[in-house]
Amino acid sequence: MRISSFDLLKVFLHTGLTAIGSSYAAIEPLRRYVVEEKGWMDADTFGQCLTLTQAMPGIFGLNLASYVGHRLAGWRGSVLAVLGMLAAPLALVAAVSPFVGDLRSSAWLASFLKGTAPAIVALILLPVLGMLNKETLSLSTIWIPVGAALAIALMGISPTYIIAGLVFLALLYALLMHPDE
Amino acid sequence: MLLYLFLFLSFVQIGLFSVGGDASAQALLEHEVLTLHHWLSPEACTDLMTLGACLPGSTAQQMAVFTGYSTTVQQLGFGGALATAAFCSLALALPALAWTGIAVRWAECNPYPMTTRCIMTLLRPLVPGLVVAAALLMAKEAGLLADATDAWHKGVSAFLFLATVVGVRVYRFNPLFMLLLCGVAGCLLL
Repeated sequence: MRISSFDLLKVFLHTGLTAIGSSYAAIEPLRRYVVEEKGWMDADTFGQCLTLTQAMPGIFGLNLASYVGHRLAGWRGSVLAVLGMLAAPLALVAAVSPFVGDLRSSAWLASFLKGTAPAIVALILLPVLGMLNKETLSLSTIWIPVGAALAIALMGISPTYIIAGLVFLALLYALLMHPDE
Repeated sequence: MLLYLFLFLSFVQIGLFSVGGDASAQALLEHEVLTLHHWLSPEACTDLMTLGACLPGSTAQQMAVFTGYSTTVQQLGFGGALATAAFCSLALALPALAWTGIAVRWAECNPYPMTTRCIMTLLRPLVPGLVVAAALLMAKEAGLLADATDAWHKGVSAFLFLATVVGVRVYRFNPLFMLLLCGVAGCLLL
C-alpha cells in the first residue's frame, strides 16, 4: 500500500501544528491520524513505535515523526515527516520572533498564557487515558509508569536513568530466566 | 559564514546528545545558546519559553527557530532570518534521521531477539509514565501545583483543565480551538 507523499506531509503538518507545549503532545494527534483516521498502522505497531522512540536521544517529537515516517514509507516517509513536524513551529515562532521583547509589558498576554497553561497540560495528558485501556498495562507492570512519573516529576530523576534501569532489569531477566527456552 | 557553522554544530549536538528527553535538551540548549555562544540574552530566552508554552513544537525546536532568527535578522532582514531559522531547525532534526536509521538497522539484523523482546516488554509501559511526567512538570512550571498560587488561580485552572478534557474527549472539539477558548477565558478571569 503506497502512501502518497502529499498525504504524509499533510498528516505530519497537522501533527506538528497541534503538538503544543511539549514533544509528547504529538502522540495523540499522530495516533488519531495514523491509526484511526487513515488506518495506515494498527494500534499495536504504533505502540511499538512509541516504545522505541522514547528511548532514543534527541527531541522526542522529531524522533517519533522520523521513525513513524520510515515505518510508513521508508526514507521518503522519514524526511517528509520531519519536514512536516518542523514547519509549524518554524512558521509560528518566526512570526512572533520580532515581538518577543514586547511580551513582558503585556498584561493581556500574561493572562492569556495563564489560561492556556492548564489546557496544554490537559492536552498532553489526554492520550494517557487511551494508553491505560490497552493490554500492555497489567497489574504487574503498572509500577513502571507510576514510579517513573513520580521519579521524573517529583525527584527530578532523568528519564535516561529510568530507561537504563529498565533495560538492565530486562537483561537480567533474559539472561537468568531464558523465557523462550 | 562561521556563524552558520557554529549554529549547525550546536543544534546537531543538541539533537544527538540530549539523552533524557526534552528537559535535557533544554539544558544543553541553554548551555550552547546562552553560556557558550551568547546568541541570546537570558531575558529573551525566558520570554520565548513563556510565549512558546502555547505554541507548537518542543522548546528546543522553538529555540532553534528563534536563535536562527535573532542572530541574523540585523544583517539579512526577515527573509534571511527566516532561512537561518529553517537551517537551525533542520540541523536539530538531522540526528532524528540518524537514530531512525540505527533503530531500523537494528530491527533488521537483530542478533538478540529474545532479549530485545524482554526489553520492549519492560519499556512499553513506560510511555504513559513519561507523558504524565511531562504534564506534571509543565503544571509545576505554570505554578499550578505550588502553595503560593492563590485559590482563584488554582480553581480557574482546574476548571479549564476539566473543560479541555471534556471538550476534546467528549465533544470532539478541535484542540487548537479549545486552547484559544482557554486563553480567552484566562484573559477574562485571571
